[in-house]
Amino acid sequence: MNSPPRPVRRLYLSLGGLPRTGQWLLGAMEMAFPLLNHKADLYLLTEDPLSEFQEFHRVLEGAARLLREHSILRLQIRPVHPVRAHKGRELRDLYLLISSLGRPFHQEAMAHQVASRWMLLPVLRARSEAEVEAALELVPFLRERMILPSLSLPPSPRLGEWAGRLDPGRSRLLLEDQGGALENVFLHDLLDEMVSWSVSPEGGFCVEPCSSLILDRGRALARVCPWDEWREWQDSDSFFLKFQGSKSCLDCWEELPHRMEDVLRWNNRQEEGGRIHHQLGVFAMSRGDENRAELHLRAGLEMGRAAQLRFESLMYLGIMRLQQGRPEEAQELLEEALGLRPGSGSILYHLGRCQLAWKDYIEASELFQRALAAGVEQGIREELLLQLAVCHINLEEFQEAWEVLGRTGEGTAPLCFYRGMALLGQGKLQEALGWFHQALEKGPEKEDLASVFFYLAHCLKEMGDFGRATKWLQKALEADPRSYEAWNLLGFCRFKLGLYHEAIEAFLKALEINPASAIDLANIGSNLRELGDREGAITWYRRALLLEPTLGFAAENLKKLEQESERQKKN
Amino acid sequence: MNVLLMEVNPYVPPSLPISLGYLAAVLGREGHRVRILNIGESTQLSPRGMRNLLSEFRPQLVGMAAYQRNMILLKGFCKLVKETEPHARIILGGPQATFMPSAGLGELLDVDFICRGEGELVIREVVQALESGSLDAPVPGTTTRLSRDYWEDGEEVEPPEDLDGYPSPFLDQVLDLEGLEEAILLTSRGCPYGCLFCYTPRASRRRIRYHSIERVLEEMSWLNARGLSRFWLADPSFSFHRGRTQELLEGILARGIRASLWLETRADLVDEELLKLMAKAGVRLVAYGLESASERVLARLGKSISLEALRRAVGMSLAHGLEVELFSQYGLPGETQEDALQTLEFVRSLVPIRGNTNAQQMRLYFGTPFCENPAHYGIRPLDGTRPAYISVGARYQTDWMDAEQIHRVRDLWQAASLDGGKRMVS
Repeated sequence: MNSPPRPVRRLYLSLGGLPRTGQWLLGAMEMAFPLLNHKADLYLLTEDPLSEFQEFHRVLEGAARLLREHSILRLQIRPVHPVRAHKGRELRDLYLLISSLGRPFHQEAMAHQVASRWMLLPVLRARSEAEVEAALELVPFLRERMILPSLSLPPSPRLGEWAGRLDPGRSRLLLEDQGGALENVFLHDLLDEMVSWSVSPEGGFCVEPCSSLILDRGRALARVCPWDEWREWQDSDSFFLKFQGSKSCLDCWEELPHRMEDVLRWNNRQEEGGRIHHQLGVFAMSRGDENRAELHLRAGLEMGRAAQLRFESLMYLGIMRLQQGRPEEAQELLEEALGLRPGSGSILYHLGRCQLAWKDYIEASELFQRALAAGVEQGIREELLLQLAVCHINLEEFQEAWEVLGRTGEGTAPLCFYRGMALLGQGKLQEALGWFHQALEKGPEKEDLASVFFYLAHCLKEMGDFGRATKWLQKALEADPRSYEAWNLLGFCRFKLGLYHEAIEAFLKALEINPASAIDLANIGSNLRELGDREGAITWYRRALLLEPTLGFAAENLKKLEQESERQKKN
Repeated sequence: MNVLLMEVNPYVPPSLPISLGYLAAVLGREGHRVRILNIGESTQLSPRGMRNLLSEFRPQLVGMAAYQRNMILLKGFCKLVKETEPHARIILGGPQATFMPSAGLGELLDVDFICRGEGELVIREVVQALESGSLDAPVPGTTTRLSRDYWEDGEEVEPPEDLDGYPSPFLDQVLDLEGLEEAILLTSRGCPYGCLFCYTPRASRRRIRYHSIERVLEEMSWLNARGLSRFWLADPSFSFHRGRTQELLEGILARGIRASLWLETRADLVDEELLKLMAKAGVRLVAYGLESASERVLARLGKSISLEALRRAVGMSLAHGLEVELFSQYGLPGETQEDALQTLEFVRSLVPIRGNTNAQQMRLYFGTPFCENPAHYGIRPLDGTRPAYISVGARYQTDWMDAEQIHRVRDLWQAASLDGGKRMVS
């Protein structure tokens, strides 16, 4: 047995249309109800509930029966119909009749002291001014009976006035400009879904297909969204098995907040619209789609006036600029965000990252300290402490770095690595070695691998174990053959091991990467001297001193060699 | 045996079902297959999905955590279980069940057992009884349905003094931590005080039982290693045993456990030194029970706490950088509308009104002295019928405030709230 992609959260039933029997609809509902989510909306779309009252009522009776049968469900019943002028009284009677269907559920709710499993929330459509007046007159009558209507109104210069009379805090306002009745309510629902999505911590990073089902009584067909293909609704398994979706859901989501700008405005929901744009921007960022991210974050800034939203959008734009390697622009955006929330720990942290990009460790360190004092989210706290430790290490404040790292968790590879660095700086070689090995066990990122190998070797070199150091350096060079430091240290270790030819080879590699390195020139000189090639050594020392005249050991060795050479010539 | 454990709380986002986790760990150790179904607001589940789950897993026993607020839906789930797996037995546990009148079984026809004692022991007894194949006597720790219209109470079960006797739901990995930002931990159970509105003192026979420090630290370290460092310590009175509390906090520091802690305790169970240590160990928020800012009302609640002690505890907590939540209620015995407003002002003068600091109307739940004998305390349940498995809850007025006045106090709290009155815990 196949299950639908997700439980159906919204079931749309179109009444009317071609003359099929209402029995089909009841049968279709029987099949659809077991698929409903434990909390779902049931839409009943009709052009004329009065003339179609019998069917309308029969479907609602069917829904009530099915709700009794499926007693884990909670339903919001949403009749969608026009309110014809001069039909107010008949509609009042209609609602009195259909609201009685909910009575057993309300009694059940009362006895259990919770909300009813049956809530009646109609969508009253009005396409002319006369219909708007009729709908507005109906609203208080319904509200008094705990029926909470929404109004779908035509675009008009009088919208503001109507919205004011409606009290948008208690009733939702829809605009009659999104295609037919179904498309209209569908898109408004989708907007609500997106609002929930935009504030949901777990849901804000993926877009799932709509969990809707649209049944068309006229043609005995079904589809999952207004842009999906109509298919036969004979049994739910084969229907959902064929479900593919004919339009990209993400495209639909990306379009919607633009398309619904007026709706958002008239419902005083710009903030929510801004939030949707914002979250779409963050979502695009997480997919690496920087263009769309920029578009939505900017739109969010325009739509949302709430300081919180603006703050977050500016922050994310700033983070994006940092990721793009544009710290100047990042700093500008982040400082604007800081103006909205002075002292924000998160912003101070990202400003610190800007300074880090410019290698201003003192400034970065200060900003990180301020961020810590202000408090940051748990998610970035570890990273902040790590970056602060990096600053201390670069400033050779190894004890401070160690203390900062002590406030972090047990450990990722970078944390272990920098712990090793802090200890290495303090001369605690054995302990440092242990942390570098731990970093290796944690599986560092590929680009960090060479550094871990290198500092393992560095530690061993400091401990005088040049043989093992050489082995780790070879691994470092496998990971990054262009590491100048690794070639230089390899040369040094080989020198110490008396492998002078191999040492020269390593220093020559170092010089390929950094031709202006006086120390490597001098090191070649030293190796040649050990090999007894005095003239060669003199030449390399001179070349080194030409580049760096203050290179003490080179000058001293050169002087000795020249004196020896002089003495030999005299003899 | 296959056992399905269900947490049904569809009005709020799903949280970690720690109590079911304990049961699952106990049963798992005995070789049973256990699944936990945690249904929250955002969980997507249809009747068909539920039937599929039942048909695939084929539980012989289904345990459901019962609360007043979910009884309406539990009835539906019970019916669905019996329709799909007619031989499966159903046990109701949780706070609504412990002291639910046995007559509740007369209206919950699909329920076979009501759990009266500690869940870990009772579910083991039930599983053993079901495995033995005969149910002609009541199972210890339960009220057992012996026929359609007849049920009997089993013998009481005696819970162990040392909670470490129960395996850890974390270390035994019976809980799904996917997507979770916060873990709920119970380092102790029970409460020795005698607040008359509360179920815990009677359920715990007014004693506290503990997990060892070592066990708690082990669980925290285990969670740390899985990226979780936000811990909600759900102990009713976290710092009751000062020496143990200190030892636990020092243990967190000594082991370098990353912790951001939420905890609940009494204002007279903290001092300057302890709060300092709490802040150092990662406590982010302390929740204190206030209930009312009227000493007269507090006395009627059996809550022996002084407002001065509370004010002092809040001040010290804030000074150490801790956030504070105050739990308060209205509609209390002896409380006039003026008293209720005094509480609102008292709270507002100390902390922002949001989250759990939003007050709520007192609920009369089974097992509390107020619920057992409301008239004695000047509480008058409102007219109207309710099933035997539902307690008075919030449907009462008092000799001091009628229902309308209580609603007015609710509206005032809501108006004073900074977040629309949303609480996390009830």
